[in-house]
Amino acid sequence: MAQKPKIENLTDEKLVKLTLKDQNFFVYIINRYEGKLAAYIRRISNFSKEDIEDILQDVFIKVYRNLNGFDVSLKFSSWIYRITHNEVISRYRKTKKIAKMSQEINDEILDKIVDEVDIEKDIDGKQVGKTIGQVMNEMDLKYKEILVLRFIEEKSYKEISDILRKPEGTVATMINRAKKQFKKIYEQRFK
Amino acid sequence: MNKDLSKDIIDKIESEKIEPKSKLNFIFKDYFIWFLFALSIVIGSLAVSVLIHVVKIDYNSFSMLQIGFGRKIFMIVPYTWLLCLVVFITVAYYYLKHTKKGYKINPYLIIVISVIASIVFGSTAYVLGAGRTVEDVAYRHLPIYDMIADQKMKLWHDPESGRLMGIVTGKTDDSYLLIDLKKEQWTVRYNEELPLKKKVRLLGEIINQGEFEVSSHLDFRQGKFRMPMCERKEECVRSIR
Repeated sequence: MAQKPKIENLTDEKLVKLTLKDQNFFVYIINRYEGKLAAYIRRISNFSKEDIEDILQDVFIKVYRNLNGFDVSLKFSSWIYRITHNEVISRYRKTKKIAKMSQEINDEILDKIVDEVDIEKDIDGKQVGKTIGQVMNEMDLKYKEILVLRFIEEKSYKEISDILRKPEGTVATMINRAKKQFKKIYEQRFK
Repeated sequence: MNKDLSKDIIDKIESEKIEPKSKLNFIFKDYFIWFLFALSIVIGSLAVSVLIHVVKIDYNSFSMLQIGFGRKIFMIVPYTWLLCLVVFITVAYYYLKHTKKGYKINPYLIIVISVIASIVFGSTAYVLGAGRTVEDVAYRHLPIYDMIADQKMKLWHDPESGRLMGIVTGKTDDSYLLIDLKKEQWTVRYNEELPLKKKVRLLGEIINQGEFEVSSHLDFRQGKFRMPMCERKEECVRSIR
């Protein structure tokens, strides 16, 4: 007799279908994305813990309300990141807070950025997160966010295109511009 | 992170009786956006059809004038319809971007698609006579359009340069009487027929004070221009019928 799959092993899309039949399944979607989205918001903003919880609550309520509008040709993760991105932007507009990145950057992420941006890694390991954080904080929000999505969240071009609602070609151009801006700020400040 | 976030959210959903919006809601929204996009293209196309109609007629009349090329172009370009086309291409672009997959298309491609669609459909509409019909409707129902077109026509009126414009009010044995835009009366000499009680554009030269010899004449595009000598538009329209 075939075994029922564990809920944890179900795809996002399957969970969406189940949630539409029984709202209690929504808890699994929340649990699956709460941590990832909180980290994403923290990386692209300087919102407080309470603000992030508020944003997350709004995001999940919006997701729940719009479950029937989820386009199955997209990845569910792209859709929920898009909603989160929109909520963060909307919160910026309301609070006029300047987007600052928290300094949660480890060596592995630094190596990726350093390789991609083509700069020499001549900073002390302990200073790594702080330095990258300082550079990112001086970048335009749109460029900072795209670097976060590409190199920290490790999203593909297609996923970024779906999250930011921009053509893939534009995403590629923005990533290049973001790298150039990162390099320029880095060289101005640390060379 | 608050460990009870999921509980808080579920509680909120239950206490506020939040329900997922119906699927029909999204389907309707999607179709509505496509409808608005299509409507923008249709209006843009109608603008193109009038644009072709106006350019064709104005080109024929203005090309007869002995004026510089730049000024000729300035007088021929139908700014109202060009602006209308630009506005509706922008609107079409906006709505296509807001369709489900619209964001995947390159913005320049969307503009090119909208322009090409407007030109193709607009040319077809012109061939079917839509240009003339739409312009006629604009004259009848949009006073501002009538005024703009009238202003443009006033540029045409310059007796010193051999261009006289007005309404033919009467006929004698060897001449016509005409009241021009400035309400001045002219005796017009012409060896061909001029339509009585209608507005005409004449080419020729002043031969004496208040006397104009005509070499050729043009009818008005619509024959429904508001003339300064009319107190109300209805009178003008009635006077030329």
